[in-house]
Amino acid sequence: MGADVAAVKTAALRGADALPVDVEVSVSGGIPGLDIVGMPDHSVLEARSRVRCALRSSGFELPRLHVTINLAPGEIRKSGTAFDLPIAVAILLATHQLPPSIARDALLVGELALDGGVCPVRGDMAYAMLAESLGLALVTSAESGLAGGWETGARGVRTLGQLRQGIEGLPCLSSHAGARDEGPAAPSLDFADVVDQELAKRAMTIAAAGRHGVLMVGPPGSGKTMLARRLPTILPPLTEDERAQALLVHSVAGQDPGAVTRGERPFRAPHHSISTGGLVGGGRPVTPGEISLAHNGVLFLDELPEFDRRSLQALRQPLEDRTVSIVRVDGVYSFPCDFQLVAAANPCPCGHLGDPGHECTCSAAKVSAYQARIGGPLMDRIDVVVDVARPKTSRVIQGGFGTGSEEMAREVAEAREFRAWREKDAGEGRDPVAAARLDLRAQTTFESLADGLALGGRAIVRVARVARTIADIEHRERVSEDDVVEALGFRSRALT
Amino acid sequence: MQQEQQGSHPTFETAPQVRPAAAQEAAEPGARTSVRDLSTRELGARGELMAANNLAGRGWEILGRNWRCPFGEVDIVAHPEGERKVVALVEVKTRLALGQRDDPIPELAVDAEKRERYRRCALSYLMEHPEVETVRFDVIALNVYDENNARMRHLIGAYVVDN
Repeated sequence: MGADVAAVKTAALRGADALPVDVEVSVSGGIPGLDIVGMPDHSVLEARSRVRCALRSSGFELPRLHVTINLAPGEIRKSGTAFDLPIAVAILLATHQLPPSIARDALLVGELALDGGVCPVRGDMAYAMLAESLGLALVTSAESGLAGGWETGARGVRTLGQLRQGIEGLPCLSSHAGARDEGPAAPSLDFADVVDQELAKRAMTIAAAGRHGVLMVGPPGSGKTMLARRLPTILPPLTEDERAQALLVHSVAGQDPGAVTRGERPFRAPHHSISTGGLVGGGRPVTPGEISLAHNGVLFLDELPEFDRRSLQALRQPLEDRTVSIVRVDGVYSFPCDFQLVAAANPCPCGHLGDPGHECTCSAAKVSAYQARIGGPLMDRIDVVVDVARPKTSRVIQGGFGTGSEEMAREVAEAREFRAWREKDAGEGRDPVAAARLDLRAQTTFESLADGLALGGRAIVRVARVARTIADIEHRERVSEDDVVEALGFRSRALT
Repeated sequence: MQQEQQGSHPTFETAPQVRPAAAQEAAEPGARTSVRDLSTRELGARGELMAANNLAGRGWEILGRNWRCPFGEVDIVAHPEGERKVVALVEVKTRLALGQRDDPIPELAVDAEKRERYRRCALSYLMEHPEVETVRFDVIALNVYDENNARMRHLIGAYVVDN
């Protein structure tokens, strides 16, 4: 008897990309058993047990024959459980239990349960993109969280037995996901909830308008975290393209995209105990870290000085390049990470330095050691530093309302629009100070104040950038004296 | 390399009334000792004979007993009933179901090492018999209760060999 051969198309996940893979199956006599070749790792080898049970419980037969499974190309390392479904289908084709036409125009991914159910896998978005570029229909679990318009081209399969009706008989994935709410739901967070922090809100508006990094310094309970959480509400909504990128990163990381599906910007707030790999990406297989999950959104580092110094150092290159490269023996993995950085810190270990209502119990040496941890290279990327004081008790109890997100979002959108118009007109200068286009009075004031405060070159550039954004908010082509003075206020006093 | 026990859905067949005494007469005439007094080796040989007789009685074509190759010995080599393209390599495990030597599940003794030995034997057998398409690994477990009673379980396709 000649060997019966069949092939099915699937894909292997590598970083944020899906690479096409063919599952080839040859069935022949000899010693019964399943062999998998083509650089499978342990998770792929375990497919043998799942496939066996799933075939049997779906009413198919696994003949007592020697089955060789090849995952081509063999030089790519294969990992994960997405190969279960294509392997099972290829076996069914090779043993003539399904007609060969069934998987001709399909790209199959999915993990099999022992009862023959098809479970969702990590990276559906990457598979969907690959399937589209190859002109194939993606067949994945019916429970897949695929979103952002990609679900309409994909077909959902609930159990292996369903394949008897052919791929065409499978329902489109979007018809499964009926319960998912599309369209912008009203964001539940609003800056109006934050009482008596108008200065910090102004800093947030400036940061959002100019995409500046922000550091909030203040005692515990002053509302730093509340402020940070509300930053995404004033950023312009994700564009179609940005949303696809964010969904891809979430899908590849195996994370629920949540509000990103509705076009809200991602907000990530990792705990300070996070490892370097968890922050910038890593692991085996390599998956994106928090900075990539915050792509096109906000990364909030609460208690900044508590973060591991090495983790913060690892942020420098990604902040500069807006993409993070992780080098491994089998090559470079790149993930996008164009995020806005928001950090919060206490002014000293006890948190009460400079708080009129509480006495600080920290020694001077302790305070300076604590603040030194915030300083350093990361500070280059933080243009806006704002002191967040404890809100007045009476205001909190009375529950007054301050500026709300709607108003701030409008300011931000207008400032960004103005900036785009201005840059189109003038072009983006190389020197940030010159590009700020200070008017004459602003220039003299800036010079004398910078002299008086003994600002270094780095600090001057930072102030100029912030002043430019403030002028954009006010729709001024040239930066005025007021803008410079306000920008100087958002400069760190303790930390430079 | 991984070998999976019971991977391809073994089927159980129980034939409770095998008669060791009758079988023993055919095997070793003159050996009249009680099953209690048999050495492990003798008990095993008697069990293999019983199993072979049982298989033959069920229409199997016995091709050989104690088939030897450089890697070891296969207890029974046979065509299963109605399956002329398949050769079953049968390992027989016999235990006394009496007193201290009681072992209720003899088939557990077919461990990874034994399965690996059988895999090599199977390769060896396929080399010698190119006309054979497929082999299968069966296990027959025997619990001998007394001179006249034993319980038999036949695991068809007891394990497969995965790489």
